[in-house]
Amino acid sequence: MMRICCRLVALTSVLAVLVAAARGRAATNPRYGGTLRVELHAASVSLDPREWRTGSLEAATNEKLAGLVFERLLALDNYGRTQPVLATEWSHDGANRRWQFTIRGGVKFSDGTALTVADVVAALQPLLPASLQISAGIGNVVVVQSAVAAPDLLEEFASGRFFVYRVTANGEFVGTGPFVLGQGRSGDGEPDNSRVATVGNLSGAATTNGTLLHFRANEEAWSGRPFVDGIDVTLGVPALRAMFDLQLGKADLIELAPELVPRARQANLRVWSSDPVVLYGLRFDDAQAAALDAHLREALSLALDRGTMANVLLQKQAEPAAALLPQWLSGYAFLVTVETNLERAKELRRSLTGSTSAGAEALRLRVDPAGDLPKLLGERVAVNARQASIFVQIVNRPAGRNTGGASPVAPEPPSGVHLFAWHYSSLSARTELEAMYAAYNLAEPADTSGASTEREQLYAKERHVLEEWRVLPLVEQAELVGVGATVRDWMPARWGEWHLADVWLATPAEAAPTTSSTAADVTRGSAARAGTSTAGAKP
Amino acid sequence: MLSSLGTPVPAKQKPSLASSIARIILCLLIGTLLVVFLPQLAKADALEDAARALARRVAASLHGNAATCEMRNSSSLGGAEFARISAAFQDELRQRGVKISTVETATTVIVSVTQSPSEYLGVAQIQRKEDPQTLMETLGALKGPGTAELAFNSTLHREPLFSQESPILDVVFAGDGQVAFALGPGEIDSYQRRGGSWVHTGVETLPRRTAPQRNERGFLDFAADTESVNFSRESCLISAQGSGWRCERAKEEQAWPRGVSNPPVTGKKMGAWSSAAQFQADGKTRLVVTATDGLARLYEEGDEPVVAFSGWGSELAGVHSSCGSGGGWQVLRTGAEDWTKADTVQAMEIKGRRAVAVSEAMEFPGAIVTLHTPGTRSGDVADANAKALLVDRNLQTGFYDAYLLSISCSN
Repeated sequence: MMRICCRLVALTSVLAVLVAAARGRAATNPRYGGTLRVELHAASVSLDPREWRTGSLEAATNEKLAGLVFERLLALDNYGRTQPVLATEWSHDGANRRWQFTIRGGVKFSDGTALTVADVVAALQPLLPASLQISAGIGNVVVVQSAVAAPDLLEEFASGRFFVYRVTANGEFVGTGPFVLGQGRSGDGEPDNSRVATVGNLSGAATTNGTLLHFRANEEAWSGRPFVDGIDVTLGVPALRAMFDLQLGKADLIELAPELVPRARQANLRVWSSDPVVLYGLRFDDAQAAALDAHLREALSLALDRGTMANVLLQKQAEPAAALLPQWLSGYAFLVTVETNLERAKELRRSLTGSTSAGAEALRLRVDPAGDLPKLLGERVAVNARQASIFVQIVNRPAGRNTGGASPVAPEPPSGVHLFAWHYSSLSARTELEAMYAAYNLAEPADTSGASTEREQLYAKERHVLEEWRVLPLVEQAELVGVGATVRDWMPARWGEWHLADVWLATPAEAAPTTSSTAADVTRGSAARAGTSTAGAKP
Repeated sequence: MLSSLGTPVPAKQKPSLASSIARIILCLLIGTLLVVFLPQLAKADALEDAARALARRVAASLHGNAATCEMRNSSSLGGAEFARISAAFQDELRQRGVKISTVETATTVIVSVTQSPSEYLGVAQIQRKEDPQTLMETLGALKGPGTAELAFNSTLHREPLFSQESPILDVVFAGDGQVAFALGPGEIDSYQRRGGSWVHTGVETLPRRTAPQRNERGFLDFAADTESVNFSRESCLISAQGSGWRCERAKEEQAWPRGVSNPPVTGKKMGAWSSAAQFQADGKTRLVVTATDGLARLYEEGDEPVVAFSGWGSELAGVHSSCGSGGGWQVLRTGAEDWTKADTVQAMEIKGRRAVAVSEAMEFPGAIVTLHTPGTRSGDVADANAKALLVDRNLQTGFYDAYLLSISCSN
């Protein structure tokens, strides 16, 4: 009996050692191979930077996918350093108006053609604001001429839509990036030639829910082949399903809805969050007379409970916002504060007489972005406003107008306030603020002469809008990503730019949680504590 | 055209290796002149200068009134740098006739050091009853958070060499250890030791034919009249008679690390490997190889591994310290994290067929991407084997830091 016991113990030990050996932890050195599976909420994407609407949530998704295929002239790393990408050198004149970029030699587009200065000019010219002109210089140089001083041109070119691409004769877009867009597939994984997803026809929002976009590794990428063989991107995946897919190992990277973060954490899923990249806010529109009254706008601002919005509606995955630009981008957002003061809000409301439109008319609030979260925020705004006796009527987003029905659609009454979502896309605070001003038709301050540095001028510009309550920031939300257990070297920029060429995939065995109390883990743990490594049998 | 003074300067300079010596001499001359005639330049600090500029504007706004001053650090600057900025700011205020009061005054100046994606920003809030003001000044380009102080172990020692933005695959020392050549994925950077620190003296581009791998490995070797570089899939050569570097696709997939010779490797059954260390123990030549499956395997005379170790990282180096038993060899191993985390190195000794830790794990501020025996131009193998070259990618600065590791015997 004793002998049998001893044999059993010995056998168990050998098995434990073998399992331990077979389940060796991931090594630090990245490994090539595998397909990364990504699931996104967006139902359609466009990889044509000319079509993107600055600040929109859709543009942010487009930018992420475009970053797989295209490259910019420069990049900004997490340490604030400008890194050469398609440009290897740059310089500027003393006034920061004339910039020169030397284009990297030997770079090829994915169709095999060489990148030229003309390609760079042709790609960037339609994307540049009117104040910037780009032209070919001598040799491998492009020249950018600015009408005004552009000291932050590098930050501008290192972000947003400023990708270099080329349109082929048959209308397809090709890039120099680490991935090449391959064939589209239907949701069941079968090749679907009716929905062949090429960069060209993606630009027309030709994709639909469940479409699978396949990006394959660009073997000839000048920056080195990515570690994964390819990336499968499924579009139009509902938030809950995406989380289940991540949990079940059917997806490696998902966009995580803020309300699902607590559940994801409970399920021990890896959750990554960026710096705040989306601003939800209210902007007033002169289309409705009631919105013209500054006292009403101030009263609404004082009535808003931003803390509840951030902590309850967004499950603490957002922060109350007081400024237009986040602290990480402007560096001065901490100077701006907002308060909730219901009594003062009521007082202001009472001061508005019933004879004025602000006193008599309900404020119509239109929720511009699609989705449940903006709708919930809109409803919360209406509830807060009601507490200060301000009546806010929520106007639904117009559904598809061309229904083919005979009944004519009644004209929509003008809305005095819009709930908007603004996704920051530029790493230049000036560019971002200018884009916001242009998109929302905000009035420039009459006088910024007191501001002597560029940053002070930006601050003055922002304050001008905030002090007139033309825009009421509500909350700023981070981007949330669920990361699969096998994903390694997930090193995105803190402003949300994914760097999928650096990601590699461990095997599921390596990715198994280290806390499991299997015999193998216990054995290894004991050995580590004893200062020895597990000595296994022959593998 | 002027080059910008911050980070946006031309990304690379690519002089030839032949001109390096001339450059070194020129740099030495300029350096001497600077040290003799312009000592104050060495002390110049752009951050402090910018803080003083902000202080001058604040002083102008205060019109000589007394103020209390409060400094806040909301940036990634380390405590020491922030203290220097604070001191410079307050010193400049005093020089401009502002009395900084410790008791409450009618005016308070709150200076916050914050940051944008690429710059540090000084924000001065002048709080007073009438005409409160906010002034801002760009302080300088971002440096990333200060490097944490690292614990040293009594037996495992490290000597910091240099840091650079581009990856370091290998380092070869020349000129009695006063000159170093750092191999990158497409270039060779040269350094010279001056006054106890390493100074970058030049960079030479390699005309590669293939795109470097993202986890590229490579070794730089010097022979009597040739220099060669062996990457994973490409080899480059320059000879005394030739006109310059020539690169060609390699016939073999991967070159073995320095210190691992062919005889013990030949015929061994092993799959895709990451790193290897060869050493003598108990009178036998032994080989430890880390494989891409996460295991480290020990080979002796036979073709099959005799034992496998789990929990090791992918990088290894053999170091001959004359300490311990079994011939005085230790194997340095990395931890088993991916490149998003700080890593450790620990010295192990192979006793029989057991791996025993003989030092505390030494922490590094980033992922360890290279660990192997450094090269020497002199060919002094014993000297090279007593050390290991380690390169980490510093998670706080993003730079590649090179170190030399050695082991001393403790009681």
